[in-house]
Amino acid sequence: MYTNAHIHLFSTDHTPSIQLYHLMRGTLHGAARRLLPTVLGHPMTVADLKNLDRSMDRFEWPWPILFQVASGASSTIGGIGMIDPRRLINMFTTISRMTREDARGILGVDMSEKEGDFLKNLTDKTNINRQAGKLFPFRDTLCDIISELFKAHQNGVKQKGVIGQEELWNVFLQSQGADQYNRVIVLSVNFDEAFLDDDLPGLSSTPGLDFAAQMDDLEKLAKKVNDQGAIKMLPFLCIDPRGHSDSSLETFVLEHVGKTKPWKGLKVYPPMGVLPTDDRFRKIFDFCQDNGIPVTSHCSIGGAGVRGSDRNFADLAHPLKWMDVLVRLEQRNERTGTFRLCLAHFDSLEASDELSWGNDIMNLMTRFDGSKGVEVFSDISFNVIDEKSREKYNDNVKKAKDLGLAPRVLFGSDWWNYLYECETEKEFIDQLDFDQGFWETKDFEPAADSFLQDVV
Amino acid sequence: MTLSYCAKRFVSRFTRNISKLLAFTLTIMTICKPDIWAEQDQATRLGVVPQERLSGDTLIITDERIEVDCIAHGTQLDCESKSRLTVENKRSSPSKFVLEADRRASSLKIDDTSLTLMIPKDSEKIQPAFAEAEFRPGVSELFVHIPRAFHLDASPKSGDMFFTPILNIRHPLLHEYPGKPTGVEISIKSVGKYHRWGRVDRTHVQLTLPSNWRWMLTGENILEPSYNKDTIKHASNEHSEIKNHLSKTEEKIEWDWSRTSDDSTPFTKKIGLAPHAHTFFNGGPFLGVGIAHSNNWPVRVRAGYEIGIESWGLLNVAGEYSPKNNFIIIPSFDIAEIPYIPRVLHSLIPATSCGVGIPLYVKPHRFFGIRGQASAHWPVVNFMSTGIVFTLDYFPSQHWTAPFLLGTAMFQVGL
Repeated sequence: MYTNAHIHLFSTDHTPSIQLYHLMRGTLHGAARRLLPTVLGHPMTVADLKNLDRSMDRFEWPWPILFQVASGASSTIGGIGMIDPRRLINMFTTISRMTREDARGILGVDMSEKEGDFLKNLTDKTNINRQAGKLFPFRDTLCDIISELFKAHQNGVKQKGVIGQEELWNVFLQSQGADQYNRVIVLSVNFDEAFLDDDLPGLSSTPGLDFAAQMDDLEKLAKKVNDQGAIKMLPFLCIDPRGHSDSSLETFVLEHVGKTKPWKGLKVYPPMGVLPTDDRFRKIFDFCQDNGIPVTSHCSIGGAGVRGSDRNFADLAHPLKWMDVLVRLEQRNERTGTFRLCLAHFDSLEASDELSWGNDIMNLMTRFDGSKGVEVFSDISFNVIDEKSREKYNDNVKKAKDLGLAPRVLFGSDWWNYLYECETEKEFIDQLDFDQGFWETKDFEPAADSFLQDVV
Repeated sequence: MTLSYCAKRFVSRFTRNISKLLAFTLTIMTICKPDIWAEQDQATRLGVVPQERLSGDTLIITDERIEVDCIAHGTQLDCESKSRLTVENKRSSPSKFVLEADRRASSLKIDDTSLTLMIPKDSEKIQPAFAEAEFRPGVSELFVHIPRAFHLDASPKSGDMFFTPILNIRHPLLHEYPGKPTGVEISIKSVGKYHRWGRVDRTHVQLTLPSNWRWMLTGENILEPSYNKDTIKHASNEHSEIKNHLSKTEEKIEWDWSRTSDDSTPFTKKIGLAPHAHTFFNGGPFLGVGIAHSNNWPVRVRAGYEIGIESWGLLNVAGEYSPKNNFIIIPSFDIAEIPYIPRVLHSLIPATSCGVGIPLYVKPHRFFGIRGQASAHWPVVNFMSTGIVFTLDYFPSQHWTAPFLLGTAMFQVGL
């Protein structure tokens, strides 16, 4: 039995449709990114990425050819890894009220759920939009698809009601491998303010259920689960200072987070437009340091976040954005405890070396080892490893062990976010290859014990 | 060697070499790779919102008026915005709140009293400017001025928009480079979208554009903007004025929005803007093969290049060859089908054109005639079109021959 330090339980009801658009677009974009270095003859640069990003919405080079060839090749050999609709459907149907048939119909795939069919449907719809003179034919096509998926979900909601935290939790527990956990950190995510500056045709910037509803639901669920005692649920409160006065968020955290309080830690999600250096976090982080409240921060180039054509906040998740905060806390004379920060995901395995943050995370872990009131951790959630990232992952693991950082690396899965790569918890764990002489899930327990020592 | 064996062998090779094929295809496309686009600079919020979410019994907006006024410098557009909010403080005593505005804002006033806008120290420049304001009970007016709310570049290098469907269909690959027609997209939205004010009751938006720029709402067919009479009160070229030393004619577009229920979606529009500056657009090459109504040698081949005139015309030059009829050069002009039909049907209904040309016999004798031609193209794959072309040439009598007609039907592809 061991600790899963990173899962999410929010559903389509807690998520603005604009976020699902970015998720789906990011998946396609990520798949194409892997092909580009071959063409460019050099590793992807930020400039290349920006070019690729803009050209995707416009469906300019290299997308028309890429999709045409990919859908042709997928029809012949079954798939080339652009995107697997079977798993995309798994993900959507897990967190939504839409049926598999609904999702198939909208994605344009039949019972065989072939990648080629999906890519062809996507290309055909984009071409129709392009011929219709749409400004951004690919963007508008994806918006149409997401809008349809949301409508299918809403139809399901009318019949069965919204998807609550408990329902998602039960689905998570049924995932093969989840019975191995005795402690689970559930990270809430606040989408209320994340996309308000972002506009996309036909999509909503605000979730159907606001964050207050998610908080109430999760608080009740945690109490129920913890009263039953079979498994310990540790909810982390997502903090976003936007929409709060200077003191209201701080007051709420002080009253509701702690060892004897409903919330056991905090979650920060910088790529939604929140900087760790925001002044409104200052007293909250002081409080966390004094009381040993653990904080998890999203720390990879991917994931939920604002990525419109004009704005890209992914860089806000960079580990070094925390440096000023950590140095200040280290030098804080009146501190009475340790500030424990988990920079999640350990590395962006899918990103090129230039965009890979593993070394920066390990540097921070080395620099802030807990001896001066600040201790940096990381977790391996969403480390979905393919053939190309295997070497990078192994290198990271070896380096972490060599540097003596392994006791501060937590195990986490991320649950439904990875469902388009792995179908179950067991599959996620298996693909990490713990038996290759690196580490095993039980090896992560000291890190979990250390991270949570003041709140459990 | 059986057909199935050949097919299996092809599939096997295709499968083995798929990554090489992808890389090869993409490498070829690299020659068309555009330079990096310039960033479009846009204010995200034109009005001002409280730092915290307020309930309906504190501050509400009874009237919001947004004016966006644009001037053009070639393909660049600079727009200033002025936003006026009529705020009702429902409390019986003065209330202080922190207000947030876009970092580009130069001025924030409450009842003509200027407030000091503070810019947070934020290397990422994502945190908004802020100011503290005191609202007396009753009604106050807030005014926000952003001199450069939008700085947009619609040059071929930076813009985002296409509006030549005929070229999109006939030459999907090459019409984009260089000299492609482009535009930009802006977002104008009510402060109601931020859910910070108690509520917003009414929004009025006025967008002023140079009249040599066109506009359309996102999601609509660019050539057929539906000027929705329910939402657009007024759209006309009505007056000229001198501003910033530029004499220009303006077009004003206005929208009115009113809250009808608590669930009313606040005013948000994405608007595409494009300069009229371009006239000729790159098209691309075409190749054809077909048959002629001829006793000598019916097979003919054809190659040429065409460019677009706005969205409605095509100028092309073609060379046609057959071993017996030898070689003809034909400059011609076609009128493209203006998309009265819904463009969405173009996967089924072809993009058509018809026109006239002058066929010039180069060999064996030099003489010329007159041509009528018609064509239809389908976007079969997205880097190439396929089509059919019918031509009918009339050559007047020469001293060695009587007048004659030559008709052809050709299969044509365009890149």
